[in-house]
Amino acid sequence: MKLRQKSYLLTVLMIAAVLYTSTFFLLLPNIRAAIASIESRAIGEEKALALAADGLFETTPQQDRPKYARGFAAYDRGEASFAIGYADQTWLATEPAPPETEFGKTKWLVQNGRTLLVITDTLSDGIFLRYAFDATGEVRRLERQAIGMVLICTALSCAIAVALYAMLERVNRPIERLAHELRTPLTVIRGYGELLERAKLSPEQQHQAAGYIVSECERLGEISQKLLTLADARKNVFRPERVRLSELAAHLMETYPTLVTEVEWESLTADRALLLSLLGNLIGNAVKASAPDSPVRMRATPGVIEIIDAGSGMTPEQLKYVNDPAHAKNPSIRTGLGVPLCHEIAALHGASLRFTSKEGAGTTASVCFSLPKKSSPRKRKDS
Amino acid sequence: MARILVLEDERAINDLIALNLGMVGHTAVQAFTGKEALAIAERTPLDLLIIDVMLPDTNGFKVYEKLKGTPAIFVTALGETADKVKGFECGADDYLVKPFEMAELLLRVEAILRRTHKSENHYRIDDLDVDFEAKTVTKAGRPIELTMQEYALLEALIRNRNIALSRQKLMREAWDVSFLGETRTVDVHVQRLRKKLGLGDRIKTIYRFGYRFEESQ
Repeated sequence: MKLRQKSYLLTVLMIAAVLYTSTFFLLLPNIRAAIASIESRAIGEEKALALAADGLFETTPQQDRPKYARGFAAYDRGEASFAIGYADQTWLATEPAPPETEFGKTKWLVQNGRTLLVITDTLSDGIFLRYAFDATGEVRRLERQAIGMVLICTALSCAIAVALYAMLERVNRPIERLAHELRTPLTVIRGYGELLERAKLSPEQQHQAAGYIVSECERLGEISQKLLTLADARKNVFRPERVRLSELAAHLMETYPTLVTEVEWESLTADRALLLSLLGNLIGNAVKASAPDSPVRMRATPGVIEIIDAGSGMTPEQLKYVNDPAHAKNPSIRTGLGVPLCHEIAALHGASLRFTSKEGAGTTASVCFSLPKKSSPRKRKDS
Repeated sequence: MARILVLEDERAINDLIALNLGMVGHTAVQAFTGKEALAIAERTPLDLLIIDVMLPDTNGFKVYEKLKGTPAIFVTALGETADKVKGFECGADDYLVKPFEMAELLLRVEAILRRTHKSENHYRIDDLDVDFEAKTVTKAGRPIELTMQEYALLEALIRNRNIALSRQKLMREAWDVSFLGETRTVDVHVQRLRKKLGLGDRIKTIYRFGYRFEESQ
């Protein structure tokens, strides 16, 4: 139990890890390309501005330069900010002023929540141009993309985890069920045993205690039989072959004299022995529920085999138990190898087992096989 | 004596619990479905509920919710921790997982009854009177001096009357230790109890097991 949970968790974690790493590597070139494009755009714009400034200042006397520099305010398009000046004098700075960085370098900065690419350039005559490209929007977009991928990965791992869990549950449930079923007889046997050992019981009480111990031991025997059959069904005993239903019906009619069969389904791929055991169980239950001479019908139509009886039927509650293979205990139905095993065999064949019933009117057990898509033409060929 | 509702759909277990409760002097009221249990609870006052979690018509927690106010012990085949937590979250007083020992159930019943003051505080038989609150014993109106161990032994035997207790169990009850070795001390103390209280007939030796306090002779 513990080990199973551990290995399950480990598998889920591994899947999640693989998903996350692969998305990371998928995203990486994308992010690199986006950054490179921002950088080339910023550098290009800065170059254009620098060229324009250089051209202007070359033909301007020194004292007029600050005045002319103000004309560059027209270049301010909001996306970038820049400053022009000489030594520690700033002639023009757009709002918000670009941060000061080392000369001749391109640098990424985060300032007041904005992501900036800052380029500081020296023009002719020692005039400086500080240019800050605002890449906040681009970075946000990349972030959103990454978060989206992480969310998709998380959702995907969750879905895989749930699917895996459901699968594990389906595989292990019947055994767990039987393990739970063991506890009741164990409690009873132990309890009455203790009473016999320790308490002063009247002869009737002693008789009752012994009776309970014996009947619960019988139940233990039944459970052990179920476990064995289950183990067989699980080992590689599943050998599917082409099974002719008319032949199967004939076989069953020999065992159950009150069985009436209508076979309109030629053949199917199934494990003959298991299918026989499944149908035998269902027919056995139907016979038990019916009056001694009342017939039990088996009807096979393509994809569905039904066992129909006109017996005592089941209460809605009982019906709930037999239809739910996962239900931990069904006190009222304890027949043959048990309905859980029937569910198990049906599941092995990719089929589902469903009971419909009306109290006093009878029960119908339907085994529905999922037919392959091309079944209808083949069916025609068969018949 | 306490009135205890036993709600368990397995007849064998229900009978077993009822029989054990009856042995030590409680009145067990048996119910096999949640519906039955609720109907009984409407008719009679109850001191304690013993509830199986898995019932054919509902689950034990739901029944308990409806009978809120009465202490309960849950009994179940589910060993998973999640269900345990659920049991205690809804206010269950105790929890037992099948298969369990009946002596364990009786012990927990007694503990809860003591806590809710529904436990018996006097026990009388013949000319003997044991006061569980004052921890005193009188015989024919005359107080009898008992050592602490002698008194503890007597109380354990009376509280589990009609059911034998092993020497180890008595050892644990009276000396408050799980004793692995010599249990002859128990024999010595039981001898003294018998002599002081004239209980030679009531405290029976169960061969190779322990002792039983018998009400009927």
